[in-house]
Amino acid sequence: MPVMESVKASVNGTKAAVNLYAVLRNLEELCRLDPASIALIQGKLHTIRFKIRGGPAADLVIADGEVSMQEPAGASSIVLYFRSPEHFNKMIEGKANPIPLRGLTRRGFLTTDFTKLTQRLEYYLKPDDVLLKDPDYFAIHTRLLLNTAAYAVACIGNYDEIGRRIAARIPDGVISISIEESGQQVFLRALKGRLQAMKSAPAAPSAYMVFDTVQSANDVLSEKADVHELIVTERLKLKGMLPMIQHMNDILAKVPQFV
Amino acid sequence: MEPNKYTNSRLLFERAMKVIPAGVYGHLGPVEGSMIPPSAFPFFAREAKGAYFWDVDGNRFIDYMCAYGPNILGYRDDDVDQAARAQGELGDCVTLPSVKMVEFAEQLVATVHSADWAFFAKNGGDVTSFALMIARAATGRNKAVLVNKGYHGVAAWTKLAGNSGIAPEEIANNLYVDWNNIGQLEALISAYPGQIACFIASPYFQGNFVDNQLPEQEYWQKVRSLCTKHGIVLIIDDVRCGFRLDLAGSDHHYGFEADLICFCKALANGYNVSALCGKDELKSAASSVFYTGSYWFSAVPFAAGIATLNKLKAIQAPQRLQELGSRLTSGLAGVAAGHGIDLRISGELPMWYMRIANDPSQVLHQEWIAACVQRGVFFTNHHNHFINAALTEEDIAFTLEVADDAFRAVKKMHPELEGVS
Repeated sequence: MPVMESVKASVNGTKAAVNLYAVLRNLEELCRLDPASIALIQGKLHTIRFKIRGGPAADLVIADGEVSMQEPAGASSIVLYFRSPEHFNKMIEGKANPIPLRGLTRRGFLTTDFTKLTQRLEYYLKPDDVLLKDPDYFAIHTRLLLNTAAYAVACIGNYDEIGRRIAARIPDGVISISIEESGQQVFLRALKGRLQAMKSAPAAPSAYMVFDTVQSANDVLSEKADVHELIVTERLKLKGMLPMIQHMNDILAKVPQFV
Repeated sequence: MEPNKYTNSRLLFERAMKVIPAGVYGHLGPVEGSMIPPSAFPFFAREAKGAYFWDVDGNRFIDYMCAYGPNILGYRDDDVDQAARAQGELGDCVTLPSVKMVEFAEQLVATVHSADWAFFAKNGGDVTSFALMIARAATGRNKAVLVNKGYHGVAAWTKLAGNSGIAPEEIANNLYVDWNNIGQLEALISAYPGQIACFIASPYFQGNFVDNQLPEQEYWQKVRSLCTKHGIVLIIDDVRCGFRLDLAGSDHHYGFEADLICFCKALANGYNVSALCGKDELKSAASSVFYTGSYWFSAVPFAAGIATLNKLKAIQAPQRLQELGSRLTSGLAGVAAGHGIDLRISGELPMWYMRIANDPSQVLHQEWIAACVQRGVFFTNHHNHFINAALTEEDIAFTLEVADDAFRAVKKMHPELEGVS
C-alpha cells in the first residue's frame, strides 16, 4: 500500500487514507466481479493520480479491462488535486469536487464513465434490505466489505494516533482472514508496528481468522451478529497467535469512525 | 481414548448467551484465547474435589488451571472448608468486622517476610489498584512504571491505549519497560525525575503466548536499589505466584524486599479474599486512602485463609508443588520428545508455561492442548498452568498417558510429522 510518511495523524488524514486505500481500492475487485463495471472500463486507458496535499497519494491505473491501485510513479493521464485530506473526504461524500491539474481533455471519462463506476461502488457498499436478499449482490457486497475492513485496519494502524499504538503491539507476522465458502482470503502483515493489507500471502500466516460462510462474515462485518456466539459455535474460527487478532480487532473496532 | 462430549455445556451456554454478556465473560470465557478450538473444551463445571473437576456432562478433568490459581491445596479441602463452615455458623458479612480479620492480618504479618501490616479486599485487582493509590499518596507523584505485557488486573489503569472502554487519560501516567531491562528503568527515572510513584511487576515474567522468563541474576536487587535511591515504591504483584514459590512471599524467594506486596488467588484456597501487605513506612499512606467494599470484611474467607496458610505451612507446600511440577513437566517434555516434538517448559515449575516450539504459529500446540482436554486433562492454550497439592503420582501418570495419546492424535492430523521420531 502506498503511504506518505508526511501525512498528519489527524482524523481527516486517517479518513483520507481509508477512503483512498480501503474504499476506492475496491474498484480493483469491482471491475473483476460486476459486469456493469467491467463494461465501463472496457477499452479505456487512464492513470488517475490522486494527489492530496498533506495526505496520501495513489495512482488508479485503468488498462486492459482491469483497475489497479498503485504507488504514484511516472506520468499520469489525469491528476486530481485536493487541497487537504478534508477536501478529499468531502469529494468522497459527494460534497466537493477535485481540482484537475492534468487531463482536462479527458474530463469526459471522469464525468461519465468514472462517475458511473464510483456510483457502482457506492451501490455495492451501501446496501439496503432488498438488495441484500439478492445472492449475487450479497456475495459482491461482502467481498468488498471484507477488503474494505482489512485495508482500513492497515490505514488506521498506520495513520491514527491510537491505531499506531495498537499496531505497535501486534507481533510481527501475517494474519490470514478468509471465508471458507467463497474462498476469499485477505492478509494483514505486521512488521515493526507497520501494517500492510494484501490479497496474497507474503509468508506463512501466524494467525488465522476463518469465517465458515459469506453470511457469517457479513454478519460480523456489518455488526449484525454477536461475535462471541460465532466464535463459540466455530462459525468464526480463530487459531494461531491470537494476540495478533486481538490487537487487530481493537483497530477494527475503530473502522466505523473513519468509514 | 474416547474424546469427551459436551452436550450439556453447549445447551447451558446457549441459555447463558441470552442473559449474560458474552455468555461466559472474562478469563473463564471460551472466546478469550485460552480455549482453541472452543469445541474441545467444556464451558461449565458441575463439581470439584481435590485435583479434579467434573463438567456438567459428567466428564472428569485433572485440572491444571486450578481456577486460574486459587486452588492450591485441592478443591474443597476438608480442613479449609471446616474452618469456613465453623465461622459461617457464627456470622460472615456483619456490621462490624470479626476477630478473624485481626487474626488473619497477624498471621500474614508473621508469615510474609516484608509485611508489617495487611489490608483485605476481594480480588487481586482490588489490591494492585490500592497499592498504586498508596504509592501516589505516599510520594505525591503520579507516574507508574509497569512491565510490557505484564498483568495486574482489569482496572482502567491496567489497560492499554485502544482497549475497549478506556479513555487515554486513564492510562496517561503509565510508563513501560521490558522485563529484565534495568537500562530502560534507569532511563525512565532520568527522564521523569521526581515524578515516578512506583514500579509494579510480578516476581517473574508470566506473559501469554511467549515463554515465561525468570529474573536475571541481581535483577531484583538492582531494581530494589534504584527504587530506594529515587524514592519509588516497589510493588510486587504476587497475586499469581503468592504462596506457590515461598510462603514468605515471592520477593523473599528472589532475595529482596518489596514495599508493598499483593496477594489473592491461593490465599484462601478459593474463598474470596485478597490482601495487600506493606512496610510500616507506608501504613499511614494506606490509612489515608478511603478504600473499601461491601464484602471486604466478610469473616468466612478470613477463617478459610487462616486455615489455608496453616495447612500450607504444615505440608511445606512450595517444596511439594516444586517436586510435583518437576515430575510433571519433565514427564511431559519426555513424552513430547518421544514423538519428535520440542515441548518447551518455562517459568517456575509450580506455575509452568509450555509451548510446542516446532510451529511458530502455535497451531500445533493448540491442537495438542485440545486433544489433551478432550481426553480429560484440562490445560489451556496460552496461559501458565498451576500445580495443586492434591495432585497424586497417579494423576501425573494419567496425564502423561493422555499427553502421549494426544500427540499421536495430532500426528495423525499432520502426516508431515509422522516421519518424525
